[in-house]
Amino acid sequence: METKKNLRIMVIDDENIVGNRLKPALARSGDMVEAFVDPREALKRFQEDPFDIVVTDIRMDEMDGIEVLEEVQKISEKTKVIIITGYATVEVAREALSKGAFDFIAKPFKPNDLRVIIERAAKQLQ
Amino acid sequence: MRIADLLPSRAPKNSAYVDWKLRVTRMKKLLENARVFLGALEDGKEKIEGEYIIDERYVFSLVEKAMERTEMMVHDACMLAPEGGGDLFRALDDYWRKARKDFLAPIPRPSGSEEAPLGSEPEVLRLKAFLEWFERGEQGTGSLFSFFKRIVDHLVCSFPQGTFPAQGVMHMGVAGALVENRFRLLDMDRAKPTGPTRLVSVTDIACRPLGLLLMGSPAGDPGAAARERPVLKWFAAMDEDHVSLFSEDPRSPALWLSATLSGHADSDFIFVLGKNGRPAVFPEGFTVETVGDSTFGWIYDVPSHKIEQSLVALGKRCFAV
Repeated sequence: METKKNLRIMVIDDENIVGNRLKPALARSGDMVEAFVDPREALKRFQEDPFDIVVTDIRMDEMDGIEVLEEVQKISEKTKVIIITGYATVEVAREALSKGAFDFIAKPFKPNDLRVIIERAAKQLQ
Repeated sequence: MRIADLLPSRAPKNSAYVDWKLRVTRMKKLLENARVFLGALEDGKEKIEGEYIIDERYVFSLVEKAMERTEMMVHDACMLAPEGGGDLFRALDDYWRKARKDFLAPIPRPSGSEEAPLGSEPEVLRLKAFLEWFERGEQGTGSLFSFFKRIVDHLVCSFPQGTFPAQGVMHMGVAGALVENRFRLLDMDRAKPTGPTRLVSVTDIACRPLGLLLMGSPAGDPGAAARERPVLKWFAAMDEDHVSLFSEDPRSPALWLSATLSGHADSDFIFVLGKNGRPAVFPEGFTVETVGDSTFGWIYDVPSHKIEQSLVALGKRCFAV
């Protein structure tokens, strides 16, 4: 019987509500979730031990999501990066996807909507 | 004698025709803004109840959307009925002041690393507070929804009194069970009147919503039958996807019905405003409110077939009596 491999998921958003809500919601299925409000702290942690999935906001004061995407890819090519955008503009999505993001999701969203994207990304990790 | 007296009249011919096209277009615009305004409330509630992840940008954009649409409705309502418009604008200023002070100000963040319990995050609390004000208001402040009702009540002042265009419209008679319905029809797709007034039948009109309204009533000869039955007069401005219908007879209570049926759920909408007990009953699915001696109701964001069914049901109530 095939057992599902638990994922290691990193959530990066400078608004507490995102990590607060996503952490328990995503951890329900057994995945290990760490949430960060500071992208630089998040990348330090990622450097120590790369995660399977990174979910990052696109617009943050310290560093934007595209930069996070690029830094993650330098450290771990196989990690899937999902972008959270507050404005579902075509340009933002196009830039993120062209630089190698797996997918994007627009706020407001339900945790389950993100879960569906994470499951698709997980299939590509196998 | 002044020079201006010697100049030919600059009023365009058939100005009543043009005036009514402009009036109906403005009323449609007001209702489009009303739809977005009402949709903002529903969207906010859905986000709270559905435990969505929201951010402060969503909250601010929702507040701004509701306020901007309120402002547009006030503007259109005052263009349609200028008298008393100053009071509406003054009240609008008060509502904007409240919105900017309490709902568009930066959201305070908890200090340190403390995490707010789920459902009590600052963004969620701000959204809940706005929705509370929207629907119920606060002590000493009316709700935003009550202001919307006040705008609708102001619209009743714009209800026409014998100013419908007489030239260039089509005439149609439709028999109900107990009354005879006489229609004057204005084709909104035409830039100018169609020429001499002409008689048409239900099958001649290319307006889907009006066709559905009349579906329950047999088309009849507006001649002999009228001598035995009361006559209800109506004015309808229409195009293929829209009808704005007004009861014309000053002896009957006023009724205004605006319906768009384009097949797109985003824009399909029915709004009915009536005075003195009309309509007595709204079809299922309508949200109904009262203000003064007026009752108004609406339905939107439903599948097209639901709009169609509602139009047929409304038609039976209005025409087939």
